[in-house]
Formats: sequence, C-alpha cells, structure tokens
Amino acid sequence: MKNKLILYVHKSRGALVQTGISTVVILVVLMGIFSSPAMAGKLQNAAVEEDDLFAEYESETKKSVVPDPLYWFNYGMYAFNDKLYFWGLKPLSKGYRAVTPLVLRQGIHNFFNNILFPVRFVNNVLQGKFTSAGQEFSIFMVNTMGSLGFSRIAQDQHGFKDANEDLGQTLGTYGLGQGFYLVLPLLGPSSLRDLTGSVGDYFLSPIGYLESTEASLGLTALDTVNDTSLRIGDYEALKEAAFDPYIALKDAYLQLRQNRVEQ
Amino acid sequence: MKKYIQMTVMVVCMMWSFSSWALEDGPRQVLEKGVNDVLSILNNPAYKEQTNIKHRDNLLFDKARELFDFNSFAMGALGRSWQRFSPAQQEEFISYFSRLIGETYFAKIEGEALADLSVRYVNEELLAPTKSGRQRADIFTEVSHSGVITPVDYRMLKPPHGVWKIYDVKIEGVSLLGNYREQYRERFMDSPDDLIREVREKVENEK
Repeated sequence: MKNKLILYVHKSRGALVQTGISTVVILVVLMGIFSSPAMAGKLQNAAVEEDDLFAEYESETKKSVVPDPLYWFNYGMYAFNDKLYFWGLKPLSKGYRAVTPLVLRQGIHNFFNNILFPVRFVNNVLQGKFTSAGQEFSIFMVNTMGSLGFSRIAQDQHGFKDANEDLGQTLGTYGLGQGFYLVLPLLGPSSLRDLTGSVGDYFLSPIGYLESTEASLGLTALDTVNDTSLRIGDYEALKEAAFDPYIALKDAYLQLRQNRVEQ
Repeated sequence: MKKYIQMTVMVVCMMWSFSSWALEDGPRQVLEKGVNDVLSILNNPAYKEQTNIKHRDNLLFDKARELFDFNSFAMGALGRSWQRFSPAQQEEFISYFSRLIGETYFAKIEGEALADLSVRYVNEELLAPTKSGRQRADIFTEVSHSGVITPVDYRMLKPPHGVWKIYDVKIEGVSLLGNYREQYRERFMDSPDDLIREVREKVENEK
C-alpha cells in the first residue's frame, strides 16, 4: 500500500513538473492526500529536498532518454567485452606496460591521435566551427612537423585548444538523437547514431587506407593495447563502485556523448 | 514603538548576516583549500610507504567527509527510493555508501604518480538558491595529469547556516550522482534492507 502511494505521488509529481505547475501546488495536494500530519510532514520535507537539489537529474526533465531495445544482445556483448578485457586485453596491456616506458606510450598515444586529424577537421567544418577547424589544422601542422605527432607541442607550448569532434557528434548537432543504445563486440558502448558516425569517420582515417590489411589491423591493435596501458584500473574502479555495471557504463557513455554534442 | 523594535531587529539581523557572509569562504575557496589539502597528503613522502598507507587513507577519508556532502549525495543517488528508508536505514546506507566510494577511488590512487597532477580553476557559476534556502554553485576545473587534461566540475551546496560542500562531481561531463541515480532507478521495488545489504557486501568484498 505504502509503495503504491509513493508511486502515485511520483507519477503525479513527474507529470506536474512537466506541465510546469509549481511545487507549492504539489505539496498542497500531497498534504491533502495524506491526512496524517506526521506522514505529510515527512514526505513534504523529502519532496522539497528532492525537487530542490535533484530536479535536473530526473529523466522527465532530461533532454533525451535513449531506449535499449536490444538489451539482451547488448548485455551479451557487454559480458563478452568484460571477459575479453580481463582475460586478454588487460594482461596483454600490463605486459606491454612493463616493457614500454611511459614517455613512449604517451608519444604513441599522441601519434595515433594526431593522424586522426582529418576526422576532427572535417567534422568541425561540418558543424560550422571554423575557428576550431583552424586550430586543429594548426595543431596538426605544428605537431607533425615538430615531432611526427609524437608530442603535443602545439597544445602545451603554443596554447592551441583541442576540438575533438566526430561524425556522431556532428549528426547530434544536426538534431539527430542517439536512436538506441548499442554495445559492439570489441568496440564497446555505442548507439545507432554513433555507429553510423564511426562508419563515416572510418573513411577519413588514414589507417583504413593502408595497402595491407595486416598492417592496419596491427596498428589498430597497437593503438588499443597502448591506450589501455595508460588507463588500467579505470574500468575496474567503475565496475567495483557500481551496483549495476551495465547501467553504469551505459549511462556514463550516454552522458559523455550528450555533453560532447552540447559543446 | 512596535515599528521601531521591528526595524531594529531587522537591521541587526541584516548586519549579522552581512558580517557572517563577509567572513565565510565562497565555494571556490572551500574547494581550492580542500583540493590542496588532499594533494599535500598524497604528495607527502611519509605516507608513501606501505606501512603508512592505512593512516593516509584515514586522513583522506576524514578530509573527504569534510568536503563532500555524502548525505545529499546518497539521497540523490537513491532518488525515489530515499523516501522509503527510515532515518536509521538512511544513516546506515550513507555510512556504507561513503565507504564504498572512498575505498574504490582511494584504492585507485595508490601507486599512481601524482607529482605532476595540477588543477586549474576555470570558472564558477552561482545557481539559483533552492526553495529551502540552500545556495548552490558549480565550479569548473581542469585537471591535468601526465599530459592529459580532463574537465572536472564540482556542484556544491551551502545550507543557510552551514559551509559549502560538494554533492556531485562531473568528470568529462559525466555526473557521478546521475550515474548512481540511473542505476537505482530500476530498483524501487527492492526493500531498503536489501539495498543496504548490497552496499555492505560490496564494501566488505573490497577488503
């Protein structure tokens, strides 16, 4: 009974917030529903605090709720990627970390990041961010000529700002929603929109244009292992501190992408 | 006469609130001091040895309690479920939940080189105060660590007679509170005791 009442209160609250009626009205209604003053007082306090501090966290007020119709497939892929990480990628990256100095790993990370310049440049242009496109161009020129892309001279010494844009974000700025959530084998969290974007971006990635498939696969593997070696422990922490790692990962991905689109 | 008394009371009250307002630290000062304290504990060579790790973690946890409003954080994380918890259950939940957060993230700090970690305070924004009179602010920072810059935003609140405390952290735009809230959204049918037991088991497993 108590549960039902609370559910009812929540439902009515959500609907009222949406139609924009002030909280005061809701509280008056609440006090009417619960004739017992103690009960009303308790709920009133809780409701005031809730609305006060957390209104913007409620899904009704969030701009977009992304559905997960392929839950069983996604969950399977999540479990697969999880095992792959702990059994394959993590031990491999740990071994790699043991024999590769940090400076070199950072350099390799910068190198791979640098050659993806066409993706960032084109997508800045597609979003009408010409200043950022210009910055990315300067960063690419300075870093490539200065160090083949292994260092970040342009950002560290000349104060240029990264403008990390991809096609998924571009589609987002055109008003396209995520569609639905997707977990891809090997690649992890994505969405219909972001997967579409990645396919488009692939044509702008120099690695895709290498003559030999072995070389492009090898470089992708190096990029992945190198990247992982720089953040061993992050995924573990997220997983350990979570009650539902699947939802934690999904929500983190969607929040991150939403935030990137808004920038 | 009545009017005079009323006026006096008002003026005195105003002066009182102004003076305390002038003396109190703003959200950014509180945050900056807290972050500096945490960094100095982490960079203190005395705490780097294995034998002192426990002591260091206790210091860090005390600091975190001082800086972080675990109460509001837990309330926001549980969302609609919070109202079903009795005050005693709320307290129990908060104590385990804060330990879980603390221990998971302190464990990650161990063994990491932090000498080159630096924080840049980019901007601050006062939000509209809440209906119950709490002030709120967002502080935007950039943390740079081994060449990687990560935006970290803190959302802080200050009750009418309290101090500024953090109640949400956004790392690259991902809200920690929002992330837990999403996880608990589906759990509104579970009993408070079940939810408490789950956190407790998680904390104990980390030992």
